[in-house]
Amino acid sequence: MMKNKLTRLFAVTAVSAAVMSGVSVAEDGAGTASVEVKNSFLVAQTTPLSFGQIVAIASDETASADIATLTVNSDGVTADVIVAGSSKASIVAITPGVAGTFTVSGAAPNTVLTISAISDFTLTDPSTTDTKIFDVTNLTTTVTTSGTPFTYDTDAGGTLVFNVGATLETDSTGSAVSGAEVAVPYENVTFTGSYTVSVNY
Amino acid sequence: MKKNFLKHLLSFHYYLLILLVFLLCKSFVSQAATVNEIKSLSFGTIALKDNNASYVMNIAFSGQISADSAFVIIDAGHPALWELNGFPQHTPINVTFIVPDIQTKLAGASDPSTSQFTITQHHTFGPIITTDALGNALFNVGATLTTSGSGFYKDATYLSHMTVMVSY
Repeated sequence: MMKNKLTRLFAVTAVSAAVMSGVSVAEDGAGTASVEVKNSFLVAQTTPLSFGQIVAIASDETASADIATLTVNSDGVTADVIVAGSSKASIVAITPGVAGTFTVSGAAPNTVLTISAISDFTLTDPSTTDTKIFDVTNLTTTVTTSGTPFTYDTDAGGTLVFNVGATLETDSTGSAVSGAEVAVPYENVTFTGSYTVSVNY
Repeated sequence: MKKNFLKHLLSFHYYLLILLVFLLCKSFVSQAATVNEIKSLSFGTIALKDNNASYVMNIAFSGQISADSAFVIIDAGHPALWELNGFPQHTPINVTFIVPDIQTKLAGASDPSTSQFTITQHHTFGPIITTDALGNALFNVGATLTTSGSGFYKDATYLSHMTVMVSY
């Protein structure tokens, strides 16, 4: 009787083992997938664009007023002083100007960036002592650092430095009667203005 | 009559015994085997030039990355690495992926104003993975990231969950 029970017990165990060998065992584990978006990067002005210290005289005439120009090149070449038209308007440089410098940081490494064209703007006297203005035109950019192989690539650290140059023009919005052109000196004040640079992937 | 009753009762006990042995065996097997994520799947750090269409980035299980030109890769991503431990030796293991929601969510506070990605096509080198002599196995998991095609993406980390289910 005892032997019969043991035999049946072994049989049950064997059946269980057989059942187990045919059982599909499943296990699972939890995980994640992720992506970090970093569309923004920093564009900081490290050197303001300056036309230096100058002697400036505007030409006051309602129509066809002469202008004098001074150009600060973005490539670092010495600034040019140009007087257009006749002799009423003039600029004389006392101290040289410097190109503006911007540093892009935190961008993708070795990646081409697009620097958008910069719009013209004006310089005015914040104290309004002098109501004349200067026009700032022909803004240009020159990248001074680059990765390879493209000129506008960021470097391996995602940084790009570029200069901004422009042309300063004397005021041509005179009020004198046409034909009576007169020279009007600028006041001894600092003229300021602002512009926006836009950099994109 | 009484003899038949005792016979049925004895049979019932045997069924219980079978069930108990079965449950114990299954319990031991379940406790021994583990499925662990060693390294999570990452599509890296990216910028998008625009989101005017649905753009795709694929990370293969091998680590190969392919992406539409709208993606700017700041830091490259990598496939996930998973580890199986405590499985029978030299045993083929079926691997399947369960993704409760293919749409990503922000890691942290929700922000309905930002677009979301979808992460699909989770895969490894094959549906069957064979364990080694110790009953262990390692395998990579890749997937595909797709942009929404409209709206914009705020700077943030976007997450999607998955479950890896293995059976043999």
